[in-house]
Amino acid sequence: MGSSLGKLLFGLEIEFGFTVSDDEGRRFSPQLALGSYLKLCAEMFVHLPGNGGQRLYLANGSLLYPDLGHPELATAESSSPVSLLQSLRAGESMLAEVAAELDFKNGIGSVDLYRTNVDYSAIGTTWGSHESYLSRHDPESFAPKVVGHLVSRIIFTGSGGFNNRSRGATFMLSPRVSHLNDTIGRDGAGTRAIFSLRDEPLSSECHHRVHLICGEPNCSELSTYLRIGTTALVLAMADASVDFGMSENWLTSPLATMRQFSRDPECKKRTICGDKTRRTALDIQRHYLELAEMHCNAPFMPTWAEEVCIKWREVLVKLEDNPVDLIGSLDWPTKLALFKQHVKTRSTLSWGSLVVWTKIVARVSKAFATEPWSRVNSMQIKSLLRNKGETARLLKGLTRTLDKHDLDWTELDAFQDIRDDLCELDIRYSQLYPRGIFIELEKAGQIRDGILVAGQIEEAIDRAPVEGRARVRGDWVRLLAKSPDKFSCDWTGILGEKVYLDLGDPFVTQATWQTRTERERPQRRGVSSR
Amino acid sequence: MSKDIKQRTETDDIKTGAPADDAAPGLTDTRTEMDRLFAVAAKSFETMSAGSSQEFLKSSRQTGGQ
Repeated sequence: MGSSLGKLLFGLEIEFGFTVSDDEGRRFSPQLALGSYLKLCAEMFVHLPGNGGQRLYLANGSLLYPDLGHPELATAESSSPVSLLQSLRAGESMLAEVAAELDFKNGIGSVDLYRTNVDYSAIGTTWGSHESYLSRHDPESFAPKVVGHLVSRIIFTGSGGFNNRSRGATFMLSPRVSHLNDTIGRDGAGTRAIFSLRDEPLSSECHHRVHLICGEPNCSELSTYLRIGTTALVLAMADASVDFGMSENWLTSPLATMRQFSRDPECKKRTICGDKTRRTALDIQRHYLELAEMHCNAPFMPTWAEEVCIKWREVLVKLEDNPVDLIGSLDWPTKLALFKQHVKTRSTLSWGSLVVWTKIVARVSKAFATEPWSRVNSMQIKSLLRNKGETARLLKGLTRTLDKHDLDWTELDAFQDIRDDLCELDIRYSQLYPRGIFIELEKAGQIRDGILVAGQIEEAIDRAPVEGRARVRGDWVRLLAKSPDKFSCDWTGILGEKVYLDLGDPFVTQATWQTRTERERPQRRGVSSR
Repeated sequence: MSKDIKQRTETDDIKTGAPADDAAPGLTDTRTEMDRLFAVAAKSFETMSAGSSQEFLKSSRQTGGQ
C-alpha cells in the first residue's frame, strides 16, 4: 500500500456539531458562529492558509476547515493507528480549547461543541467521520472483499445511539447505518454507500485513496484504534490481492445485514451468505481476523499488524463470552448500559417496553403529527378514541397491541419524555465542550482499555507524525507562518509567490523548494475539492 | 417504582422479547464497578442538563453533516 510495501498511510475527518448562543440564549446563525470560531482558531494556532475559504493547515499536520456550518477536522496523515489516535485527540483538545476561549468573549452566553453522530432535533441529520486510506490499486477492484468487514465491524466500532429517523427509541450499535443507502457506490447528493468509490488520491499519480464514509466518531480510544487498525489491515490484504476465500456476493444483502447487525446488541443475529452458510457479525469478523493473523508477517503488512490482531481477537472473545467486560471500554456497550440505567432510575417504563412504544409512536406520528416537533399526547388519544371513523379504528387497533403487552395510553407521554431524555444523554455523552459524560468518566478513571499514554496528545499538538509528508508540511508551516511572503497549502504542497514545495509523494521525508519558473505546480487529481 | 409496575414491566420484557431493564445481553454482572460508572455519568448528566430534554434537542439543532 502506498509507495512501499508494508507502509500504510491513513487519516480521519471529523465533523463537529457546534452551537453558539448570546447572553440571552438566542442562537447565533451557524455562519456567524463558525466565522468567529475559525477566526479565533487562526489567532491561536500556527498555520498557513489553504486555497480559499477559512482553511487552516496547522503545524501538527492537520487541517481545520468550515463545512456546511460546522467545523471539520482532518487529522494528519498517519502510518499507525496509535499515531492517528494521537492526532485525533490532539485536534479534539485544540478545538475544545478554542471553544472555551470563545465562551469567555463578551456577548457570548454559551458555546457547545459536540463530537456527535446524529442529530435528534427532528431534522434527522448525521455527522460523518470519514476515513481515508492510501492504496496502490483502484479501490473499485477490491471493494467487494472489504464490504463484509465494514458491515460487521460495527460490533466494536459502533458509537451506540438511536435511530434518529424515527420518533421512537430503537437502540442501534451504529446510528450512522440508518443513513447508508448503497453498498458500493459513488457518494453524491443523498447517496451514502458502505464502500464509497470516490477516489481522490490527493497525491501523485501512482496512488489511490479509499475514502470510507460509513463510519462515525467514537469517544472510546479502543474503538477508534480498532476501527482504523483492522480496516487498514483488511485493505492492505485486499490491495495485495490476497485470496479472501469468499465469492463476490459473500454477503447477499450487505445493507440489510448491516441494519440487522446494528439492531442486535447480543451480536447473535445471523445473515445468509452467498455460500448458503448463516453467519453472525462475530463469525464474519473472525474470518477477517484469521486472514490478518495468517498474513501478519507478509511484506505488505505493517509492523504493528500483530499488535492490532491481538486486541482485535481479545475484543471478539469478550463480545462472545462476556460483553459486560466491554462496558467502560467500547462506546456502544457503555452507552447501552447508561441508557438502561437511565430508564430504570428515571422512568416508570421498562427498557423492554420501549420497543413496543417505538412501534406505536411511529404509527401515531405518521397518522397525526404534521410538524416535526409536534407530539400527540395521551389526552388527545383518549379524546380521538371516542370518535368514529378511520382515526378511531387505527387507534383501537393500536390499543389492542398495547393491551397485548399490558401497556396503556396513559404512558405515552412518559415514553416521549424518556425518549427525549435518552437522546440528550447520547449527545451529552460525546460533548467536547463543556466537558461531556465520556470525558468526565475518563477523568474519574471509569474508562478502561485506553490506548494513549501520558504526553502523547501534547506531543501531537506540537508536531505531525514522524512518517509521511504531514511532518514535512507541518515543519514548514511553523517556519513560514510568520514570513512576510505569502504562502498557502494544500495536501500536495506549499505554494509561495515564486516557489513551490512538492509534497505529491505521501511518504516524502525531505522536499526541495523549486522556483515556479523552473517547474510550475503539478496538477493533482482531486486536489481542488479538498 | 411500585411493586405492581415493576412486576408488569418484567413481564413486558418477556412478552416483547426484549431484554429487561438491567439485563442487557451479557451485561448483568460486576454491579459495583458499574455502579461507580453510573454514578459519575448521572452526576455529569445532571450538571449539564437543565430543563427539558425536548427543548435541549430543539436548541441543539445544527446544520450540515455528510
